[in-house]
Amino acid sequence: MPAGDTIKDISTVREVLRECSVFGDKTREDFVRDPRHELAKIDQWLYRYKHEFRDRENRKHVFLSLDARDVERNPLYVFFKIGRFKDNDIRFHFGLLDILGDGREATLDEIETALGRSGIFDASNDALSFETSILRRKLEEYSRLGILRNRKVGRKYVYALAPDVSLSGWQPAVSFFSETSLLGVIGSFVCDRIARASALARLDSGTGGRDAPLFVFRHHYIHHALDAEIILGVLDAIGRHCMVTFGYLSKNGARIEFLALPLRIYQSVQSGRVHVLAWNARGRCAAVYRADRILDVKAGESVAWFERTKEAADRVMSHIWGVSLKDRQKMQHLEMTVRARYRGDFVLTRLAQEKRFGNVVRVDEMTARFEIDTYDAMELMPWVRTFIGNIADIQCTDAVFLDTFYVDLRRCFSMYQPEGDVG
Amino acid sequence: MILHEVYSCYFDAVSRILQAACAGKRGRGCYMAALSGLSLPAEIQETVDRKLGLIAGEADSYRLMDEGRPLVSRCPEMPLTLLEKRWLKAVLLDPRVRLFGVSAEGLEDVTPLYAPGDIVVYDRGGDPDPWDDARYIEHFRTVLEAVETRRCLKVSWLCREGLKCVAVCEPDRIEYSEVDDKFRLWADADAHEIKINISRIVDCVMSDAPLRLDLPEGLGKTPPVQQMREVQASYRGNFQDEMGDIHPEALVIEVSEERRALERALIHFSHFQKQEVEQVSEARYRIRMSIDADDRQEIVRRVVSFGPLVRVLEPAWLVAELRERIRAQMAMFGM
Repeated sequence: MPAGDTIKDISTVREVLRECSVFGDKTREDFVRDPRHELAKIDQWLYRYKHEFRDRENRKHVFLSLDARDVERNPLYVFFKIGRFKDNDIRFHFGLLDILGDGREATLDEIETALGRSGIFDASNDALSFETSILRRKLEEYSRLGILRNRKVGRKYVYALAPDVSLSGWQPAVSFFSETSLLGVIGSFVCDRIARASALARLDSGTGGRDAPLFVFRHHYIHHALDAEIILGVLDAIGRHCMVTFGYLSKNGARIEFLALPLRIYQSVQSGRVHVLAWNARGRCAAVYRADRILDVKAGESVAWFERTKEAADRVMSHIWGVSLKDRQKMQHLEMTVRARYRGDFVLTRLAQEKRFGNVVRVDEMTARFEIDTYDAMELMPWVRTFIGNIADIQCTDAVFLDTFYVDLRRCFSMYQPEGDVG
Repeated sequence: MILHEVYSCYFDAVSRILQAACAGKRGRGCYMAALSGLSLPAEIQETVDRKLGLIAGEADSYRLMDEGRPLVSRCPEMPLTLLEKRWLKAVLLDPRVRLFGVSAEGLEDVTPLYAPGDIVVYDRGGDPDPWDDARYIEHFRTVLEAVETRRCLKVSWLCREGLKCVAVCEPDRIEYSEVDDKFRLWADADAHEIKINISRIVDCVMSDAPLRLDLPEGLGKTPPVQQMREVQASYRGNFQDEMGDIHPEALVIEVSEERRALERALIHFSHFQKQEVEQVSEARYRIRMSIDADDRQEIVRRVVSFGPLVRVLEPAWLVAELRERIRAQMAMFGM
């Protein structure tokens, strides 16, 4: 398979999209000078969703954007479907399915003989031959993937296709969860298989067309799809209670490495961000890391104190509005009284629905009071602002919070005066 | 490891062609039909088709076919990999899976890829659809079946004001909001586009009756679908229909670079179609994007959450709404 149509690993694509996007530190020109650049490939796959603009220094910045409601499948999943492979890989794959497809078991020797006879390989042609050691590695790899099962008979292993799962009735569920699950790319592989069966059934019946999309997604963020390998590594470590070594992109753009115990993943459906809550071995404290800045995850030893550490971190997180763990020396108290402007105003219902671990007390028919104790009141600022126009009173033990709130409100006021100036 | 060739679009395409060929469906036409619905953008599918020309025609590159005949005698489906099975098992632990009535058969001994508590969604709305409610599940499945089979539905539901509405409609799709954790049915009824919260449905059955939409007095209908499409195609400003509903087409904002607001705004609004970004001064950028009519209240909240770091320039109704809110707030504080 020519390298131009495939990718060796996902990290380069992540790097280009992270660094070359508008919030990255590089522009396209920086990447063009980079001999490893994969801009052409990314442009080819994503040009429909890619937007560019030039800053005042005429440097080009790129960002991805799409109307989520027009997109049936996350377009970034495609990068997991163009992995590089050799011609022999595809010959082995379909040769094995052919040989073992009738449900029989076969030893390595028997498979080797059958492949030689199939006509797919040709021992007299270097380009079409294979070595036994490569076939052995392929059988081991397919066993690890769960495509084959093996068992020892005497001194030899026999291989057979692993038991399959009927996907009858799964199509709507897989369509839905392949977009809404954090590891939806794996579901998209299952979707592909269902779509393949549908296409072949239509071919059999002589009908054309394709399966109509069932779902449309609102508030759908796609970017985290490229972090799937990282998220998988973290979830694996959580499941096995393993320490990991994170390769991490620091704020100054340098790669750092540190030892940590991943505890949970935190996902925001309002911003699309994904964070990892982990216990940092060096700092000996819980910390939160952005998944898109984790470069790699190397699993280490499992530890017996996982549950204890997770419970301690959960106690802290139960007073964190979002994911900010930067300052938790002292709890801050915030109170906000919200008044509906008219009967039937949805604002009080919304306050109750969005309060998270805060408390809401109904003062009268038109008024409710929200109270919360949190380590970082500033995290609530964007949410508090959504009640502008309805806030009868606001108090906070963090003076910086209140100062920022009032200063910003005055700036907004002058900004929206008819004769007002920008900012 | 997720990036692996067994999941690749090339293996998918070859599998389709070999399965068709082994079933005796040979020739370019059959192969192209087998490739229909390949989950790739058209541009990539062209690349795949080109690569497959080698297989379907001369059979040189992979040597899996010879003069249009497969060199394999059978091409069974590859069993699901362990990763795929573990993902399905994790899906089975999600409360929303009850809506779909799927079977766990074959997955009994599989370890889920993750436990429900491993992933915490911390900012979802606090009023999700009732996943456990038997009536809700029944309505969801009826709606899903109608969307799948393209059959018409007779639906009655309660609107937000508590009034009963009835429609015989042609279902289009089911919308899911990740923030609200709610499903809505999108449908056409008597040339009107309607969106119905599935949790508000009182009754729904398949129907062969003519399409109609019965709304209580005083409730507005969205303009006829065709009219809306024409408006959307030709109009780039605000549109107010005869019922007073406003259908904004473009949201234009200016974003400051202060407190990394540009980065946050571009991510925050990334699921809207951006039309252009322009640097208007040293630290300010202007972004134009498309928004949908029923995003109105949500857009107000989302924009105001940025405070002075985002200034709305269009649409006019949004500027007026923000001005009014801020003035009301200043008055409440006596400022």
